[in-house]
Amino acid sequence: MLELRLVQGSLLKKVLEAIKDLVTDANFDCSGTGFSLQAMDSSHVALVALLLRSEGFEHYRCDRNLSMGMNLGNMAKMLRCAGNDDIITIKADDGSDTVTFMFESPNQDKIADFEMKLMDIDSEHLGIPDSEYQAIVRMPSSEFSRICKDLSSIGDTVIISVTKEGVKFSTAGDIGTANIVCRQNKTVDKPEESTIIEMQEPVSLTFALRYMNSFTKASPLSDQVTISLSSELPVVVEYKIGEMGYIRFYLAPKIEEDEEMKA
Amino acid sequence: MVKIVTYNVNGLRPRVAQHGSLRRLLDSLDADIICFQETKLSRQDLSGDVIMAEGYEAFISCNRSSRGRGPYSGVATFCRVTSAFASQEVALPVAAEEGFAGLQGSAKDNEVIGDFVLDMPMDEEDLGEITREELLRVDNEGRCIITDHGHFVLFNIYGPSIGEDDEERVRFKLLFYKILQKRWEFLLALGKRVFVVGDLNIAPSSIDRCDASPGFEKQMFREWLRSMLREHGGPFFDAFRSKHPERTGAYTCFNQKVGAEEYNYGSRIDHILISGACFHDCNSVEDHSIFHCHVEDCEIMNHFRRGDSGNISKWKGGRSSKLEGSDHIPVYMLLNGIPELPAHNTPPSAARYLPEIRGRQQSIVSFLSKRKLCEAEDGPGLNISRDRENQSCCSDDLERRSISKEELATGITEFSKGVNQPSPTSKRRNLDHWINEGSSGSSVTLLAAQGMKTSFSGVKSVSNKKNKHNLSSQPTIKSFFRRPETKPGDANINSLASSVDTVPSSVDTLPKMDELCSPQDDSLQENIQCTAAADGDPDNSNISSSLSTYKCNIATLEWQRIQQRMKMTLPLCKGHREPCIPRSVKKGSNIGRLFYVCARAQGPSSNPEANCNHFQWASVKSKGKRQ
Repeated sequence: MLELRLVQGSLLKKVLEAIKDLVTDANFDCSGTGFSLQAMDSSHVALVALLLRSEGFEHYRCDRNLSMGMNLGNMAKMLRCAGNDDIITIKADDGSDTVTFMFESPNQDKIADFEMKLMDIDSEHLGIPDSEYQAIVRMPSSEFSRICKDLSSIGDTVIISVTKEGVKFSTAGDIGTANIVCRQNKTVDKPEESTIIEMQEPVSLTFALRYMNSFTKASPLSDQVTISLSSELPVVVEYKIGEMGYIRFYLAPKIEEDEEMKA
Repeated sequence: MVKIVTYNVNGLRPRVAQHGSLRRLLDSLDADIICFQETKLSRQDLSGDVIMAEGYEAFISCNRSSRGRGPYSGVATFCRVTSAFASQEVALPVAAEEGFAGLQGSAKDNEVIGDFVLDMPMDEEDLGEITREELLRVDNEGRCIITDHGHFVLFNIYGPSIGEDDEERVRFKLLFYKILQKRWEFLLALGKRVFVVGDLNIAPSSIDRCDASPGFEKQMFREWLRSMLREHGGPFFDAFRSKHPERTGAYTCFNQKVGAEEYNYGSRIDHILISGACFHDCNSVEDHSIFHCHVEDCEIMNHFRRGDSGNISKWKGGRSSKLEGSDHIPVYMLLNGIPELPAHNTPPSAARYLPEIRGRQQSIVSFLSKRKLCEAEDGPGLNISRDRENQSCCSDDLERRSISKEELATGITEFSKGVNQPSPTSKRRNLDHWINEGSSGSSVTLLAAQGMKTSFSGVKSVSNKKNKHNLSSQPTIKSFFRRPETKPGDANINSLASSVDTVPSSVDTLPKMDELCSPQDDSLQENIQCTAAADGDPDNSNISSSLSTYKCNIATLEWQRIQQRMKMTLPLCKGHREPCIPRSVKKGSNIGRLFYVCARAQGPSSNPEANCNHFQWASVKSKGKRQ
């Protein structure tokens, strides 16, 4: 028996809108600690990790660990039927081939049940290691989203370079080049508008904008985004989900292949 | 000698950017008359940098219809001349006309041939009644520029590309060619020589197509094109085929969606057709024609093929690399013995006189009368005239401006190139280099480095040879994660980790060196860093830093393992046992469903290296009812 009651149902709606374009099908894993998901995009280049801790739910009952395969497009369709203020409850019986989403309006005068078929999805859980990063950039998520969108109209890849002065996003394409530099800025009135750079050493990495753009679909979840970079590791683009969890996107940098072997 | 080139540029702006400037693009084709198709320019955003080049006169036609998203279609003819005025050069036309039906605004006075008039409405077999509106629609898509070079009339054509089952467009294409044919016949009857060049979107015979099916030549347009040729009783010579009747595999266009360049899997749809008498003084028609007497050569300019022939990069499902350049290849024809013309000026329909390029010079009279008008009407009229004034004086130094823009742009690219070669790549290479050394215990050899590099690109090393030229590629996760589990023992991990340490830390201690090296040759940098690392090793017993790097290395190795896993879970294709690429269904009942196909480029089915047509659904299905 599984019953998860989320008062702020809009969070779940936003989560689905954030990942449904990147991942088509995925297993949601429920355990005593929380509701989580780990999935690759269809070309197996990027990885998404989602965690909603059990403490964040008003009511969290999970009798035994359960993995539910869902088509995220279909799930998003159902969640779009929930109002933004609705309370969402996820229910499933052990061994059932369906999951039920229940939407309650805030004043309890409307209750909707949506039942969705589950899928069998082969997937393997990957243990993601904790690591230290050479540079961590925290910035307004809307700003990051805007930068990725703007750059993708010029080029296919973005070079993210972090130095003491700030973080630089640059690209080049047929029509020209673009460079956007964001400086550290802690002095704003609102903390969500600050840009903070923690740097152990300068780092510069190249990423496919196609993926970056799809990561920024998570911007509605959080005012701030955290970008962690290390030259030997995939970048982590993290959006906090209130106090209850996070959504993290991992993407391996593109490598400039060497010309030297041509000779 | 007169050299004529036809080239479907697939967007003139991208080609200009690719070559640095319009002038360089034109010079690289080295021809007297250059005919571009699919310029994708619209009249609204014409600018000097894509139309005006020193030493060339341009004649352009843009799409005026609402068809197509954004700029679409469009042709342009560039003529190389030493002087735009009082010139005797054949390349400089005596007249020019946009469109082919004689209906376009600029053609109202029918410059090219005084009295070509289509009776409207008219009847044409297979087409029924054709109205003037319909004809104008066909003529409005910017598919034809006619230039009269005195000795010959040159048609620069971009033929419609259509789906076989789109009836409206089939009729469109048929009408397009039927009217053209009428005009050609009219000109030929006047005794003019007619050259037709361009992307006709028709491959005349099976030999011009990679995968021609048995009924290939039966198709209506191919039959029509053949009927135009001398071999089938028509007036024209297909200059390329007539020069090279037996040559197979001669293609000018490659489908970009399937990576057709890689296995020369294309079609020949860019043509130069030529018809008319020679310049010799003799009356026997036999063995004498402009083709027999004056065409020296006609060839496909294969060096313009995308991705420099010889080392075309692997297609890999189109994701890994974007090929630079057009999906077409230019074709040229060389004519000899063409006499000069009497001195003539650039015709007024040249691009240099377009208001978008040149601005409008108003006569003082109109200015004064406007002033009067303003006084009567107040403010707004005055503003307009001021704007106009600005416009015209701006355009005066337009050419100069565009040149300086160009220099600026190249400056930027060079600069950004410098920036684009950051050290992480080489660092990583070094790192892997050292990992290699550490785990195998062998001394550093070039061989080890080579092996490592091949594994980088993520495909089996055997099939990988061509692959290294991709400038940048999305690493398959595999590249991160070489030999994760094959470590013989703990001791090895340690030695591995410690040898890994040396690289980043030595880089720290030698930042200056790093900087010095970066702009230089890769191998040099590698050498320096290697020796630096070796020297640095004993000094670097800074325990705390090596501890944290150790932790970092563990994470790196772990990530390498994860990415390896991710890659391994991609399905392999049956033909080559290589990872597939994902696609999703775009229409029909299965819309949105994911499937995997072979990542290789399309090629002849006889070639086992080409796409193996592997197909499999992503393994997801609804859960069945469980009892």
